[in-house]
Amino acid sequence: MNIPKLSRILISLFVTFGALCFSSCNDEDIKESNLSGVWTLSSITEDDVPMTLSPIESSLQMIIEQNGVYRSFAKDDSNTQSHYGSWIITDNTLIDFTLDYYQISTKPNANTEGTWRKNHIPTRFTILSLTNDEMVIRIKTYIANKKYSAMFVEGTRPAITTANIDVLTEEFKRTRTYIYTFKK
Amino acid sequence: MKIKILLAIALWISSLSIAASAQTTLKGIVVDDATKEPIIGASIFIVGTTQGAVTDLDGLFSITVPSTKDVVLKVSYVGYKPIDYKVKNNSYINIALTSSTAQLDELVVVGYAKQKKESVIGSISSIDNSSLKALPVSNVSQALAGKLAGVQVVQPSGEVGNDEANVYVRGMATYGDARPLIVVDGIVRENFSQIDANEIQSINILKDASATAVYGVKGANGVIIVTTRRGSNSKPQVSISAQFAITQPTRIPNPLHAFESTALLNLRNSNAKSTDTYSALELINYRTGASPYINPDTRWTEEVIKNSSTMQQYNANVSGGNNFVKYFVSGGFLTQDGFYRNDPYTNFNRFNFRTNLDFDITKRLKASLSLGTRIENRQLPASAHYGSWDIYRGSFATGGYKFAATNPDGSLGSQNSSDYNPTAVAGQRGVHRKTKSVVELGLNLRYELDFLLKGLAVRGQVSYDNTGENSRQWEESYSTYYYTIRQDALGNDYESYTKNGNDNQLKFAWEDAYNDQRIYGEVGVEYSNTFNDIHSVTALLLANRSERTIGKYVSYADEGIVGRLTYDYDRRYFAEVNACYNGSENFAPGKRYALFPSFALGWLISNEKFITDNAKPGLISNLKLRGSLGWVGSDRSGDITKEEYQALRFIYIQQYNNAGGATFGTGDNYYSGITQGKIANEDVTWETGMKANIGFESSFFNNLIGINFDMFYERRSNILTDISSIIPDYVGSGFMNANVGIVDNKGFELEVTHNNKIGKDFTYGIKGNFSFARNKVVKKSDPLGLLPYQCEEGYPIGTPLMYKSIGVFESYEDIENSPSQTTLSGVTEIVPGDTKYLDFNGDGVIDINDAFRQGYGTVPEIQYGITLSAGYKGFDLSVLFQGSAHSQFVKNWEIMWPFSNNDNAYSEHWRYWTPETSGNCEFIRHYTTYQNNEPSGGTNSITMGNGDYVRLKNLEFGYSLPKSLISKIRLSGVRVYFSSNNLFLWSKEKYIDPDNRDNRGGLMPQTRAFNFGLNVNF
Repeated sequence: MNIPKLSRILISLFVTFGALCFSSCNDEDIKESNLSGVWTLSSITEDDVPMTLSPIESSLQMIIEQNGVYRSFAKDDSNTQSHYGSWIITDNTLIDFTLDYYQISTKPNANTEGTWRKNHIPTRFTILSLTNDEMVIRIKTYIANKKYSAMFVEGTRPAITTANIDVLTEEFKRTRTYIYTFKK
Repeated sequence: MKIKILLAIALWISSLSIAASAQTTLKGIVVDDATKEPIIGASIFIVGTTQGAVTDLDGLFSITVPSTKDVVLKVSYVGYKPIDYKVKNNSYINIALTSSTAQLDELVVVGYAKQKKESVIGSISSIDNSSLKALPVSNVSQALAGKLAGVQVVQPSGEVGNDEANVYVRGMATYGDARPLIVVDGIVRENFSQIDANEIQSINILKDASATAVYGVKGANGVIIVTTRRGSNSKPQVSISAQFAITQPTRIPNPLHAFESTALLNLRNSNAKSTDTYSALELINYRTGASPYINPDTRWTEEVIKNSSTMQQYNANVSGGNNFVKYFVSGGFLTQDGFYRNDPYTNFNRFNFRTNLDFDITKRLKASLSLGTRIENRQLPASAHYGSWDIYRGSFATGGYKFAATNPDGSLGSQNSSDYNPTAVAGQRGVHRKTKSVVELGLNLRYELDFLLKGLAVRGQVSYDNTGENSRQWEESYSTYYYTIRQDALGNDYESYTKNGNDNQLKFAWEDAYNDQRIYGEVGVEYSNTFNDIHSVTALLLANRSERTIGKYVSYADEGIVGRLTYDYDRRYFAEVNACYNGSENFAPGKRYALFPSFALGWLISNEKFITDNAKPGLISNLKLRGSLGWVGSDRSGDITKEEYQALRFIYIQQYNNAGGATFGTGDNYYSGITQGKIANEDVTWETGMKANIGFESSFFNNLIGINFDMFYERRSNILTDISSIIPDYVGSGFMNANVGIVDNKGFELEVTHNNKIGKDFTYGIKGNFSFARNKVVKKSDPLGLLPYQCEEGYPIGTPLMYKSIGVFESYEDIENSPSQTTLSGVTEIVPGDTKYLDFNGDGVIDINDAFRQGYGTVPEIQYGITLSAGYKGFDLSVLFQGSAHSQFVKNWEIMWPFSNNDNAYSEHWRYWTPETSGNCEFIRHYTTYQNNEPSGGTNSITMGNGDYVRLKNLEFGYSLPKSLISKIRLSGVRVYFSSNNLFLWSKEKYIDPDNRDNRGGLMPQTRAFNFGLNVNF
């Protein structure tokens, strides 16, 4: 093998290596610094079907701070909500928000209603995109979590009775995939 | 007439010139095939003529031949195999001669003797001094990893001064004590790992019965023979070496940060239908670090474990001799510092000294005196007296969210009185000092009786070993403080410190001494002779006895008679019989002795005429077939240096214990009683290993390529077994262990080598080995009625009995469509994210009948190593990759489960299952106990650690200064080098060392070392 031929091979190896390096860094990479700011909920889809935002969801504003804290505010004509918690990004692909979760604590009987239990726990979303002005995150979770927990906006929880316990229980067993789009 | 004469002269001259013009000059070089060094003075003759040449100082020659075609040169030199070299149209030829002395006279250490390598037909793996001494390891056992076929090495701990590797020969053939026998300079000894590598000439591993039968009742687990260096008849040769290494732990669990831990605690509470441990505000404080003392994020592993430590080794030795005495004297020092911060104590210092003298007292009488001594000083924090567990485990298992290392006022932090502050455990709980001194003294005499019978000699050996160990401990304690902010009656905040524990100054606590003495003696005769240059016979017959006293225990003794008879016919056909009639006092009188014989045959095909006459010279440099069959024993039933062994020692004697009592007679007097212990086993006997081995050794193309292969089979029977599980309760008493167990062990080993030299200065080599050993329990004390797949019988030793995880339940539909698991004891509800078990028996439900033996034991079935080496002029480079496969270990408690025992959580726990991360998670859904569907009393396959790995075990780069340069300052060799140990590790186990064998992961991992060394010889 002569030297020029060897050089050509080496150059092509370097070019290939360089291309591989650059190909692994694309524009889709998550920049954590993009996260901080004031975000407004733009849309939600449920299993890829757009959901109609309620007035309180439409008003949602979330302030995400660089230090790992978020606060959210929402209101409609009859209800004002504010929540706060923490966030953390894992592996540049997942984001956890600590949210107020509500689950059935005790089941109802003929004389007594059931009760809800609240926990403030990490809730894991996949980051689909995060730019300086748009954040799209996805979560596959139980219908009841979206409906009754403070997944940025807290839903209205019904009284737990023998009449609805089966429906509620089923909602805690069936999953849906929700995609939240926030814009700055 | 004158004209005719002139014409005739003219014709003659012209014919001469024509003839001269048909001849040509052939040039070439003759080199040593192994070293590629030129051979000076080699003879080259043209076959069929008297014409020849001799090589010059550079091994070069020049010879005139009729033509360069079809000329055969006979090339010879003393000590080398002569060859006929056929010239084929080349004007420059490179001829390599194979050393005949290497073939004929190279000696291999075998049991009780040395044998010519050519005649060895047992299965033996060897490693020599050059492969050991430059490694940055603190003990020699670590250096065997990946270098020897048929040897499995597991190093479960990297703790300073306590990092000895477990060495197994051909895996395990018993579920009893599988440790091989250690023999140092011909004497059975307890340990070899702390011998200075610079003192060692070779380590030979005897694997088959042919090699080990001479050790009789102690040889079944294989034998490791360590031979130390001795002097030679030469001027004094001084060697000085120094090494300085920077060491660091290879792999430490990665605890979660405080925010992740506390968030997980809330999550698992939620999953278990419980309330939060931490409020949203507290989580924010953990996330932001706003309250570093109340809501700390203490990185205990960083607080406790240093990034690096140091190790230094020095050695000076001198060897030489004359016709009367040959000597080797060596002194070495190793010092190793610990890995803990705030630790004024941890270090390991070792002083080694060895003197080996060989005297040729008369023409016939030879004497050898061997003295090896060492002092091992271990100093470690008192809390680490039984290992680094308290400190190392504490560093990763203590939750960083609980308390800060130090409070605002500088006091040590804690949360409650049961908390040790890990930063202070190393330095403020006292010190443990252990000094171990070892003296190993041996005297050999050999007297040749040629005047009676040619080749006859008598020999004798005595040795005295003394190991003394003294342990002292000083203890202290320290107080810690729980820091928090409280409010007074007026609602004002104030800092509160609650004291935990007490301050006690360092004071002497206890000491313990231990002494182990061993006296050994042997006398024997040996015979070696060759008849008619064809029949070679060697014979050995000796009797030996050893007595050993360990501490306060009754002395141990064993004795035996060893015999060996070898025969070779024309260096082609070999036969060998080995036998040992020996016994052990572990057994009842009258049942203590047995004969352990072995038989071996070998065929050195490469010495057959049909090879030497027909094959191209050097094509088949060596080809030997060999096979052996024999019976070897093992009387080991435990570690005799340990207190707990004493209960197993005299199991043939009925034992009675002080226990119970009764009040009777007048005066209500209480009389203590005696109860019968377990019923004695009067027939207790040794394990017997029937070993068969077949293999070949070969090298081709003038030793360019070497291939060795062995297959083996062993049936170990009479294994001492706890039979309590098969004795019904109505018998009313327990029984001592009985010899009921049987284990089969089989496998193969492959070694491949390739060494070559390209051009004048470049050499390279590849050496690989691969070992596979799989055992199977044939018989043990499995209780009657146990399902076949739950018995130990039929599976390799240590195969765990457990439920097999086949993933997690992804949804409630998945749960509904899968076999029910609520039939498992203790399991009431299954939810998505829980472990899904295999319905092994296919009956549609998961219950106790679905647990089955699966996976592997703790000793790897497969180990392999590949060494790549290269040299160019003075530079040398070698790299050893070493790997292991088919082994598992149990992970439990804090190394498996988050917040186990109120401890920590690790990075893998953060990658837990949620519906969103399904298919991309490392851990199941969290629960407050280990797992939601933990099967009561059963093990789950997710708790098994995977022992498979590949390590870049050693890397060494050196430079030897040119001899032309150093000879001016009267040095014969100077080499500087850099070497590294455990540089990289690839394993399926991500967070702990795959050699870990502690089910809580509490042993220090192996260390990575970056070592700088210097060797000077003069």
